[in-house]
Amino acid sequence: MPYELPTTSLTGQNQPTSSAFRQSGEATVPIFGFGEPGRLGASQFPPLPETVKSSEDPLTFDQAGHLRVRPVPTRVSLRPSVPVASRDHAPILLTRQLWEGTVTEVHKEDFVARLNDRTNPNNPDEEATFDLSEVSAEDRELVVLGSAFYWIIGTVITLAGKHMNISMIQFRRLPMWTSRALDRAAERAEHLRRLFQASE
Amino acid sequence: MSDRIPHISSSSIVVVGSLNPKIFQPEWFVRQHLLSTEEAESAQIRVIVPEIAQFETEQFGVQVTLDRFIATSKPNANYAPLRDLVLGAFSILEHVPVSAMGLNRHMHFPLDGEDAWHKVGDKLVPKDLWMDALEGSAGLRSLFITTARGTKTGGWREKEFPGACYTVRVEPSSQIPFGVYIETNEHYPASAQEPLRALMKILGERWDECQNHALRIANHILNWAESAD
Amino acid sequence: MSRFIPPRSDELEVSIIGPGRGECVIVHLGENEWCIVDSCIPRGQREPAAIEYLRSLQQESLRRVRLVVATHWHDDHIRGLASLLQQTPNAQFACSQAVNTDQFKMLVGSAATSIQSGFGVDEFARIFRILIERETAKREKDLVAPKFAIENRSLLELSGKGRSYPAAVRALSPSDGTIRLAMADMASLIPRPGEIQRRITNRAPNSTSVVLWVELGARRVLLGADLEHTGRLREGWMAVLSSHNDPNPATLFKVPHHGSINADCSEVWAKMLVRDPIAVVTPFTSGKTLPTNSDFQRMRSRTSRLYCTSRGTGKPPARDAIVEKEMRRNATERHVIDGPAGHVRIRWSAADDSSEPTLELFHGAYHVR
Repeated sequence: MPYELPTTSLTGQNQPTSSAFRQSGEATVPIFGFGEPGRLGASQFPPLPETVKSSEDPLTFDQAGHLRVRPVPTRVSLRPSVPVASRDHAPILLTRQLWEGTVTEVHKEDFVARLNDRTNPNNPDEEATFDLSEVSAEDRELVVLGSAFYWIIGTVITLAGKHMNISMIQFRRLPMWTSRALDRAAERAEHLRRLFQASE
Repeated sequence: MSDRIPHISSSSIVVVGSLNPKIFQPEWFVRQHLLSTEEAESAQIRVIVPEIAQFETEQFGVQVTLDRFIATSKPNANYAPLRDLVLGAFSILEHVPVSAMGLNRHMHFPLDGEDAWHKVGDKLVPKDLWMDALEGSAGLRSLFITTARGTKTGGWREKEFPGACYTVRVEPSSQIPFGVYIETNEHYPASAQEPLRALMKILGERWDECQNHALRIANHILNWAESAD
Repeated sequence: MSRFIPPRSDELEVSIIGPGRGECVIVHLGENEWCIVDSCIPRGQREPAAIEYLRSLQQESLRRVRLVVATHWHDDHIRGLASLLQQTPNAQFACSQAVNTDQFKMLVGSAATSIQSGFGVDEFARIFRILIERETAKREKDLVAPKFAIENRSLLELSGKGRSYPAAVRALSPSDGTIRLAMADMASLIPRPGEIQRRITNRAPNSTSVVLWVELGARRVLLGADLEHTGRLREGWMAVLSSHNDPNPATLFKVPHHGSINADCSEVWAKMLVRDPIAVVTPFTSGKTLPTNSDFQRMRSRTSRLYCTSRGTGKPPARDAIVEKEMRRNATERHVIDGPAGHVRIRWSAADDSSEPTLELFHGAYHVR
């Protein structure tokens, strides 16, 4: 059992990969409080100041030299000072159904695809025809035989709280074949050739 | 009980290895057909220097240092393309030395108000011990639980991936008032044989189930924590 | 009769399962020895149809499967075949000689290397992985290397001690000429440097399909796979007719390529089958639906004993109302392509020359009147 956090875990909700994911204002860390035994209640702490982490002394001085006393925890319920969820966040996409499709026919105005239900893989595969206008301009060149796409159906809850049902086709962007990868394929083919020779 | 849906959710893939951050620019991803030209052109580049590269597009955030590659899906976006981005990048950079990979999901759930929120905290960590030890109130900041054993559901089997471990973090949400943040990490150390290919194979096969399994675990925790004593 | 009662040791059984995508033919060759041709996974099942059926007979039949045949590489005919081969450890694997070409091996190699799975070729990659595992486990040579089917090659012969009646499975196709055509077809699918990775799909009818002739004692069965009739002498059904030399006609016929007109050859009915044979057709519901009404009419004119494994794939499962509405708005001609496991079973004693075959219909299979 590892004693340290795995090296591949991000360090929590306050360490996003970029500032764009940060909420405006300071990231605060509310704390689940405890109440009296048998009672619901909570105490709520303000954000841990930096100095508290490195010192046991409850008395600190701010930059202007004024004495600051760290608040003594009490069993008082305080509303946590966190931003409202809808402010400065992306709209919420509730995915109701995710399909993975493979293009099996391409026509002038539409294409046919086989659909695999990724939301419930036990459901049978389906086939459907899609108008090419459903595909964004930047994905249009990807509509070829054998290409794969996601078909997402869901509800967007906007920043203003409105609900909008959406259907979106997004083609998978997969890399090109490299010479090295095809060399590996050829090695496998050669292995098969040797295996098959045993039958002759 | 029907499944709870996180109100804010994103996913991330972390690859630990020896990397050259300068490679990972939006234009490179376009040349490899992993990003559209339009998405790359609208990318916000934070920094591209030999030691670190960081940019965001409409769908992803990418941060690369000398020893770590992190790709994150934007909050509430479809998590599926993230796998393609990472699979594609590392299928091209097949000589990169790697030592581990993590598949992560980050979820913020609302609860039914302040009482429910406190109840979750009280139930996850029993209070009596701490109030006695600390002679007063105490607050839960963060809870980590790790297992190195496989699970029957979710298809995660440590036997198949020696050294793998699964970590769950639970914290009060900093994004949703009286909400809960739950993060899951599936950690895979690289094997000795073809380490990068092996890790990418895991990514290709595990990604969907990893995301579903994370949601199941979150639901299990919250349903239990909110249930009557 | 219950579906789960196994055949008698002297009985030929031919079970044809066709759920709408793919088909599977399970043949009992007497003495609890079996041959399986192709594979499908019907709606609602996780395992190949053949596994589910043989397990239900509770006679350790899976260990008594002697031969597994992939008649061609299109995914609708071999879904789950790798899993089937894994669970039939004493079965030899046979496939078309067209697979034994550099072009196909390269397709399989690229499917194994790609980050994108590739339908039927992917299944073959899995099958070959199982054969390689058998090689590593030092299994007998017959169980490692595939047997390649070409016209008039024997794939399986069972006779001698312990058997009341000899049994045999012989390939009637492909011919040399069609293999050369297939090589060109496959070569066009091999990826090249700089091409985007995508799934290898091929919906063209198959000219290198393996047609099988099955014998148990005096009983004869013709399994038509997906072989086309092009009218050209060295290809398809014309090549089969010119090389076939068993004077005994077949009583049972698995109609090729879902009854389509481009696989229909009237001379096959006239020369290789008894009058009014038992004919079984499996439907196809991906892309063009087969058989069409005119296909049914044509087959009915040839035999009164025509059976179809399934009437259709059924409705899609119920989904959220918002999902249904959006799907209807954005996709047309939507249909399920996997149906339930419609099953036609024919049993026929090899012991009694005067006996007639018994026919049973399960899970929606029906007599086409």
